Amino acid sequence: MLGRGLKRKLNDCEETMNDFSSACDFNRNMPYSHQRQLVLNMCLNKLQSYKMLVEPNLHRSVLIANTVRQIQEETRKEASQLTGILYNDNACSNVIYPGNDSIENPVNLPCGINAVISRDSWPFESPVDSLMEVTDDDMSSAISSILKDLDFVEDISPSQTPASCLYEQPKPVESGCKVGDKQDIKGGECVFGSFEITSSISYLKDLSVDDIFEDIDTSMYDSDFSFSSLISAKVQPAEEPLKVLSMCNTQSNNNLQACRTDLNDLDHIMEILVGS
Amino acid sequence: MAGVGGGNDFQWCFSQVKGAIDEDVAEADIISTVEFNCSGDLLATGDKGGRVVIFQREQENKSRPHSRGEYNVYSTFQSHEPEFDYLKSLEIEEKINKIRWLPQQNAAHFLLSTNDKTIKLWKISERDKRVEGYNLKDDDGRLRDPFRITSLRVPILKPMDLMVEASPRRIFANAHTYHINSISVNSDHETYLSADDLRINLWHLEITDRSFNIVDIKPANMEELTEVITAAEFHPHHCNVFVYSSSKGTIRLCDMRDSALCDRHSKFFEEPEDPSSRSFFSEIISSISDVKFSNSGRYMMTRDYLSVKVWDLNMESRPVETYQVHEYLRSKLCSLYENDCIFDKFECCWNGSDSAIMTGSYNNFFRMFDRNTRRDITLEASRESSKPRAILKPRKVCTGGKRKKDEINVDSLDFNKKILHTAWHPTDNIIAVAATNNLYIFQDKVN
Repeated sequence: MLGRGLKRKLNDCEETMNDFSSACDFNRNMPYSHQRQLVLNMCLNKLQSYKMLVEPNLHRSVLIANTVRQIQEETRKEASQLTGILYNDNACSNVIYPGNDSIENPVNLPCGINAVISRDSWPFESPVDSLMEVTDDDMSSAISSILKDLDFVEDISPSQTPASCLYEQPKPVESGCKVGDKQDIKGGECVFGSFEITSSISYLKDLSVDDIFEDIDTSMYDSDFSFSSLISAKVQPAEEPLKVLSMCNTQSNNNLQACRTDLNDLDHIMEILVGS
Repeated sequence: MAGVGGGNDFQWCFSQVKGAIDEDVAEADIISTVEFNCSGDLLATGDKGGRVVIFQREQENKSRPHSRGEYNVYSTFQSHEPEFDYLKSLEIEEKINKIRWLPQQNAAHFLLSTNDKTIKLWKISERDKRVEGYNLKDDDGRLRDPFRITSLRVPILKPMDLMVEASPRRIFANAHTYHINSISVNSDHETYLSADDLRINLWHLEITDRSFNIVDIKPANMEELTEVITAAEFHPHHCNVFVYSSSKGTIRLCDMRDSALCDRHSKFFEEPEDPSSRSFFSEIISSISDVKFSNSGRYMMTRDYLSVKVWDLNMESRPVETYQVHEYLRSKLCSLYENDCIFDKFECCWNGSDSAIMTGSYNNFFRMFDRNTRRDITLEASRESSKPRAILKPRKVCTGGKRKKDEINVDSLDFNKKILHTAWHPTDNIIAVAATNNLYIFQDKVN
């Protein structure tokens, strides 16, 4: 029997949000990309804490999900601009990926961007996707420095990164894998370098926006199955932008510390997710 | 006119406060809706514990002029109980989301109350006489053998202490999959609508086993859902017209004569977004939390997170008036998002002559706007100023570094004290303001 005094309380999820409390209210010096990352982190945290609530509030969920979408759209636009720059400036317009016709593109940096664009076909992206997109696009300064480096890495002969070997990806050519090489050169200090973490991303996939509505509409359960199967097909590209992220991390000195905290937050989110 | 400008006509003064003074507020005692009836003699509140409390205005007493129009408890009853949805394994809260009075037709009063899922029609009636003098039962209550009743006794009515009874007359259940956010009684006095996040249903007040779905915005694929219904209301005079607001800041006006399912609106009210003020939270703060037709039926008012807008029903492109409620919070949106305050659903109300509007804010502040003079005032519902007939001092929030006397800094506002629900007496300058578990009643003081 439900006692009247026993009510669902928001306290639990409020506590988890305290992690970000120091970061709220953008100070004017904070770079826009950082602000965006902060908002996105909060969105993800809120969406996740939703699952713990007994009764989801559809209105709130939709507003949060739309915020994630908006950020995603923004980063997608930025990414497509970036691709334009990349392809024009470096004249590597016709990158050939043998045996690979679409999204599942193993090449690291351009792939990260590529995937962002081609995922337009993905009907309803999970916040995780956008998170990854943001984290790589976010550091546009870092990426631009990578782009500069592309001139240099283009001379290096292509080879596969260990991670893409694991997934038996088609052999990447051109710039992307060179970035991957660069990652190796930079050493193993990449936060997301380890396999366990990359594999735990699949848990993050649970955060997809459609899943939020799952509790509300039972007819969703059917589509949910197909969704999870789709997810498994997408695990491979999912990890790629994260590598880029770690790249960015090591490459941009000015953002380094900030990125670290972001990644710690990510870790934290993932811990919650794995725990749930 | 309505004392909004301060000084010219009258000032607001404290009249009463209801509810416990205790600092430790029980969740169940938090007031979740406030509503005057059509005459203004009754004032109903609903709370998170599923209770409805009705206050009645005392008759003016010449010997005690100061007690003019005070409201005292008339009836209290448990409208909704916590339930459990076994199919979905979800708890259904007993919290009263809305109360709407039906126009009075006889000595009894009727109201609709709703929680997230179930709407109930309550009859509130008085009894001050009881029937006495039956000889059908023994003293111990057992029915007597009819053969032993030899005399004919006519029962008589005897006066007794006034008793107010609240009895559930109709229960309208199982029609809403999502959370009911609005109910609105139609001007035909026979039907009403109920709106949840994705659908609006039309009911007949006498019929509980069926309702008509008049709006359904649920996409075939829930993954494509980007918009929800946030409030809905019938036009005060045209029984075929209703409006509903959305989480994207738009309002749709529908005419039920068009078709049975009003999926296509007749009018679409939307203000173009100002690109200069765009932020991550633009959509969230544009979400409409309340919509109310003016008493005249010419205008409607919408409340979003930072402002109140008055729309002329004849102009869809932009509101005719926009009032900033707490613009100083614009720089605080990130923390308000973080602590979930940005999702607070502030309501708004008109005064009886449609010349002034009122809505709530944080720190137990509430705002009034005079539509004629465009003047506004911030008042506070607090125990400190709750001496009888004490005049409410206008409050001011400062944003800059320098704080003048009697001003309060944005950073010291208490976001746990929020005024979401307010009501204005249909004819007089009496307002009811719900501040967490307390109900404040303020009246005008003519200078």
